[in-house]
Amino acid sequence: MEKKRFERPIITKLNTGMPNKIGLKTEYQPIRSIDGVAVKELIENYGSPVYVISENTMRSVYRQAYQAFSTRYPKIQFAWSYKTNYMDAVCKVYHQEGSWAEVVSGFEYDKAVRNGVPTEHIIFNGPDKSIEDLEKAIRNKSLIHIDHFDELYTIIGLCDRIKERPQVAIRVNMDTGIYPQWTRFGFNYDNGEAWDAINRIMISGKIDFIGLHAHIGTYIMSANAYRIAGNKLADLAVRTKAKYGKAVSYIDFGGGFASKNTLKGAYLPGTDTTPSFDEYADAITSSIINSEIKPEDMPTIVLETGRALIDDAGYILGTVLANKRMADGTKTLIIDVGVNMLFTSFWYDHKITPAQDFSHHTESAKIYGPLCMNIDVIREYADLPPLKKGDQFVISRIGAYNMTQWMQFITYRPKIVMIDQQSKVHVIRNNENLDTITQLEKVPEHLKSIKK
Amino acid sequence: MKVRSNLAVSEDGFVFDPKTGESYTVNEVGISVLQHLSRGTQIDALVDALEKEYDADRYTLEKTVGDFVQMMKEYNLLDHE
Repeated sequence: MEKKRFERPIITKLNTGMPNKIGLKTEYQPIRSIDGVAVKELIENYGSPVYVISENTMRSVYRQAYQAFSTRYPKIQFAWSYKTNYMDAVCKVYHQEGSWAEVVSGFEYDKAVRNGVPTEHIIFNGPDKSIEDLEKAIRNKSLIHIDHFDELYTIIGLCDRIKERPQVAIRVNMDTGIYPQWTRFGFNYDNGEAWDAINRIMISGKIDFIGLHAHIGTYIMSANAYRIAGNKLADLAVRTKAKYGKAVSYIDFGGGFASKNTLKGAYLPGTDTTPSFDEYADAITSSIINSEIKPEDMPTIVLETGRALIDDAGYILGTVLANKRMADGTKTLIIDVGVNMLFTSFWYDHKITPAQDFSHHTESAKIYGPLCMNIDVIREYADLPPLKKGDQFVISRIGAYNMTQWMQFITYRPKIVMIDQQSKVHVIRNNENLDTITQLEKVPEHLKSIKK
Repeated sequence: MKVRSNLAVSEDGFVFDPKTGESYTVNEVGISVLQHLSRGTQIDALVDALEKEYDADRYTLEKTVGDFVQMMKEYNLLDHE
């Protein structure tokens, strides 16, 4: 006789009439496969934990976003935010879809060039651009987004030496009615600093001022904030045209669209509260269409959306290492995915779904990673079916930032695989080993032997 | 070790404690453990029985049943011997 599937026995006290502070049960079905490939097979072939990226989801989410904007406005250009996920294979999917590159360091700039992006389609943001970076970007006619006056004066100084006209935009920060107001990137609109910067650029006569850029914040839950940003950027464009007869060729709204992850402390899940691409697109395109910019001067709208494009396409698969009961009775699970691999667990309550069948019973558990560090907590509380050692799980919506902000700490970083549109699995980054971690180390001669 | 005799346990895993008025739910394996404990089955024999019925190794059964019994004690659902 075939034995029955074993589920760890649990007993759960019912608190009648009390709201559940942990939230409602969210897992109704296991995730047994991703894009037609079994989770069990992925772990067997590529190890546990393993990052998985769905090319199909990447492309379909990108197309949804592009459609939302392009049906409302004729000139739309996306630029893939390298810092969100700069695996070459990931970047190339977006470049194939038509995205430019948006980079924030010399390293990312070189990566974009190596990925074959035409240099005049690379947007160079960020507060730290070295002289060498700027020189390269000026010669390559890349789009330099000036962050501060020191950078502006450095560029003006370089013009005399290089004898090239830099292609620049200024980064503008402003009050868009949301909290916190990001003021650290660029020049402030509300106190006149941004207009001052434009005047200095135009008066210099050495620089081509071609765009305006704003990065109003991250995880913006109110599409209306972009409408306000658009109104203010359009005002700068109109004033520039009126004073200098020069129309800007693009207005870049930066990134900041929220993904469907649930922020820690949020009452409702992100799937219920995150604005749709249509809502963002409506706010942004309306602000430009209804501005005083003349129809013949309508700029291209550039979007540096990162998180909202890639988050849904990323998963990390892992295995339960142990179950523990704390001294106060709290149930805990130890899993092989730690905060070193899942940096975003510091601000999201990530969705964790078992990869095998389970009953309708759940229990509250605290979920720890494998690191010998007290801060290694993946979920403070999660209402999950009872999982036992060796059970496998899927953490969803992790495509953004985890493969760039990850930390090599205590252990090796695992493989990243991409499932293509024909359900074929490709390793796009190998797992680390002792050699990859230590290859840059040097040991002084007198320390080569540990014998006295 | 025995489950308190005045506990009401339904077939689908609903447990009512008339002494405190508290209610609990248990899953399928939990019901099986409760039924064995009610009959006075010792832990070793209980694990033997589960091993025959379920697809799990003995170590996992001992550990998870141990944790279940510990929670029963926490909730004062066992008779003091």
